[in-house]
Order: sequence, then structure tokens, then C-alpha cells
Amino acid sequence: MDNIGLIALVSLVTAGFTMCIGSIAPAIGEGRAISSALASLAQQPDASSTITRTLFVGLAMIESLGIYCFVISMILIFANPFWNFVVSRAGH
Amino acid sequence: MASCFLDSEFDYRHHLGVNTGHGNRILGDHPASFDRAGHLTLSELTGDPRVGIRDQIRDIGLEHPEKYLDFVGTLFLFTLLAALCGILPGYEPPTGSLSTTAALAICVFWAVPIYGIKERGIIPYLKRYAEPKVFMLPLNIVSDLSRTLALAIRLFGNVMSGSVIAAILLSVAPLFFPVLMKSLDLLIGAVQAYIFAVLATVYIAAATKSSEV
Repeated sequence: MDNIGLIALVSLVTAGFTMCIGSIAPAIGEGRAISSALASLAQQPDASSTITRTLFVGLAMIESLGIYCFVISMILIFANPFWNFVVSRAGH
Repeated sequence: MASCFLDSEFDYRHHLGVNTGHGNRILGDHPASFDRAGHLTLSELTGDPRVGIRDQIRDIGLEHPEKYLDFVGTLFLFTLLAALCGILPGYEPPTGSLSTTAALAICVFWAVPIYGIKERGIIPYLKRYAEPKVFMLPLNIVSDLSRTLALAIRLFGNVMSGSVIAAILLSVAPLFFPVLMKSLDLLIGAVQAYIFAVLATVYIAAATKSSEV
């Protein structure tokens, strides 16, 4: 397999694995956060404003991990620096 | 099942009875707190946005929200409007570009020490970096930088993922499904605008809060 095919293969497979593995951990974390927030909402409905705000901020923090993985996989697919390098070198 | 229902009804009445015992303060307060829990209710969007944003800033823990209202409110309204204009055809959200979100995050990065120094003076503000011990100094500096990066990439990734998913779905199922994803996109954009403003407020609150409290 030549270099271009190898780089394309590795980039696509790595992008897939990035999204796959990178969404498991945030999913578990968000599920745990939401379930404990629901439990405390049921116990203390008066504090719902504070709980919901903290939940949103925490969810954003957790979700940013998944977003990082998404950005990395988008870079691998659409803006891959190695791909651009090899293609520019092959043009010569 | 029936007894469960009766129990819950009894609890509800009991709750109401307790509330009326305190006068109409809690009765007036309770639905309002549920409304504020949603944060993005229609009345808050159509009413004066300054009032809602000021209340939110005060809830986070800043005592004088008027000082931070223009900065945080501008961030929130800009990101919210940038997301909500997605219903217009042919519109590309400006927050879907990393340059815009990096600019917003750098604004937050500079606003935190400016507000902190204005509120507490330069020596107590800088002393915050050496807490709880001096060897935490590099970690505190790195945390400042990394949270700025996280702020930029979070907003960018969320908005950009929406447009990428819309583009992919347009080529796969162009008839009806992209409309659903687009409406989900509006919700995500509004939530991300709220989160961006809340995180900026939390950072400012952490910088301005005096440690003697």
C-alpha cells in the first residue's frame, strides 16, 4: 500500500475510534451526573434553581471532553496535516 | 397504586398547607423558582433580558451584578443570537468558527484579572495564584490557560458539529430529518450560550471573591 492510502486508512480508522472511545466516558459521566441531580431534585425541589444551574455547568464541562474528541476526528478527516503534506509532495 | 396516589396527593396538600402557613411568600416563590430552573423560558426571552441576566449573575454569587451585567450580558446575547439566527436560510453561525470563539474566550481571559484586580487590588489578586501553597503556582496558571482553551473549543465544537451534522444529513436524508436536527441545533446553541455566560461569570466570581469570607 502506498503512503497516501496508508495515511487515509489510518486517519479514518483513528477518527472512528476517537469518536467511539471518546464518547463512552462522557456518556457514563453525564448519566451519573443527571441521575444524582434527579435524585437531589426529588429530595429538595426548593433548591431546583441551584441544582439545575450546577448540573448544566457540570454537563458542559463533561461534554467538552466529547467535543474535544469530535474536533480531533474532524481534524483527522477534513484538515489532516499529514494528508495535505503527502498530497503536496506527490504533486511535485 | 391507588394508595400511592392518595399518599402523593396528601403530601401535596400537606405541602400547600405548610406553604400557606407561611403566607403567600412561598406560594409566590415556588413557581418562580421552577421557572428560573428552566432558565430559557419564553417569558425570560421575551421580557427585559437585563433583569433575567442580572438575577442569574446574582444567583451565581456576585453581590453587585450591575458591574458585570454589560460584559456577561453581551457575551450571552451575542452567542445566543448567533445560534438562534440559524433558522434563517443560508446562515452560517459566526460561533462555528474557531476564530470567533477564541476571541470571546480571550475576552473572558482578560476580563477575569481586570475585574479581580479592580475588586480586590493587585496583591491579593496575585496571591490567589499561590493558594493553597506556593508550589501550586504553575498549576494555577496552567488551569487559567487551559480553561480558556476549553471555553473556546467547547462553543466552537458544539456549534460546528451542528452544521456538520446538518450537511451530512442533507446528503443522506434530505426531506424531513434535517429539520428535526436543526431544531435540536437551536436548543443546543441556546444552552451553549447560557453555559458560556455562566462559566464566564463563575470565573469572574472566583477571581473577585475575597478569601476571608
